[in-house]
Amino acid sequence: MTPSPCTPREAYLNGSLSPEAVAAFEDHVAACEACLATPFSAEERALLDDLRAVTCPPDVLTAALAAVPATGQDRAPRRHAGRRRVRPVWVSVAFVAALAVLVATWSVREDSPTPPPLADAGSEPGVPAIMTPAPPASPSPEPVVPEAAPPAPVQRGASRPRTTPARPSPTPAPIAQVVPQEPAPPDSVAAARDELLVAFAIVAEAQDQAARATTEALADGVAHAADAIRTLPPTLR
Amino acid sequence: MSPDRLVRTHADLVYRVALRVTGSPDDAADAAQDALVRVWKGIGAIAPEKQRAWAARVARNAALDLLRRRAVRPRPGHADAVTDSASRDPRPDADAEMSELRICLRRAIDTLHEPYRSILVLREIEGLAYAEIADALDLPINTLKVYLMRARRRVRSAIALSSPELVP
Repeated sequence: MTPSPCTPREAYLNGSLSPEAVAAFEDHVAACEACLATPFSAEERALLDDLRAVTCPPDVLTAALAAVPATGQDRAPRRHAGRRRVRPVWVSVAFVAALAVLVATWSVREDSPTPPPLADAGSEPGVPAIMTPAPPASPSPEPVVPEAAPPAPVQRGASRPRTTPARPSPTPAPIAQVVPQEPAPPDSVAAARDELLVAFAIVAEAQDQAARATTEALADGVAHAADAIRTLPPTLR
Repeated sequence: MSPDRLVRTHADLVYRVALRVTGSPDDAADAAQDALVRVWKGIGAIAPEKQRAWAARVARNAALDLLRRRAVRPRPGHADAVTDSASRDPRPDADAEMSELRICLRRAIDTLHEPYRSILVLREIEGLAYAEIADALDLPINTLKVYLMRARRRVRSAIALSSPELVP
């Protein structure tokens, strides 16, 4: 007659089983409700029950509940909902304003600087097409002087930074004399960037002011509503 | 039920688990406060039948996080002071043998390592079902049962070492 697999339970709990017997019993215990029954005596059981009498100190519970509104979710749903109603409008305003500043900055730059086309049909090779409307002062390769060409087209030649070197021209001298008069390209880019940052700062400040105004308006509205309710006859409240 | 009421419902369980894991009333208070805030935030998304096990899990994790942050191990028996003072012993005139057994039992639990300690506390003190404990501790249920038996064996051994006359 083979012993029941539940037999070594007490020996297991007392630590008197061999490692092999321990492994065998642990294989058995997962499927045996009888072996899983609590092994503690009535006295031990009573003491374990006593441990359940420990309660959470009131100050811990109070502190936890006091900390919840600052970090919680559903104690401030109205504030979040209000922000959700306002935020898209002002994000849109900020985006439009930034876009307007960007376009304005770009258009200002478009009026003055344009990279010289590398080649243009109908014009002389090596001469920028933008310069073709200007009648040459003379057919001879004289240096281009400011009076001979409008200043704006002349400035286009070098105001935008370029990484591609200019194509070698058979008549490089006239252009080469004009280029050094242009402003340095990095300065104009930096200036545009600064303008954009200033515009963003202005829009952000306007957004904050508008958000505060919206909050105050909502608070005023609630206060007015409360006053109106107070003025109602008691039967209508 | 509102989150506030749910937090109040599970506050004692959270604190007891934190106390047993940290072994220190001060650490347990810190961990329990952190855990209760987490419980308040997340319990609304937990099915009612799983809320108790989930709260126990949050408490245990908060306590273990605190111990990791402080790089300390719980001190065995250190929680005796709070349990002696905070628990309302229904038998204040218990005899000396029971008092000795009580101390042995608490120290034996406090000497257990994780996850054995949490398993024993959740089963033998809090009375959670096997499935709840397995869910709370992310353990396969058969593994949990084996671990529970090991925890019981170690407690019995600890009691036998300190007070052999108390072991049947």
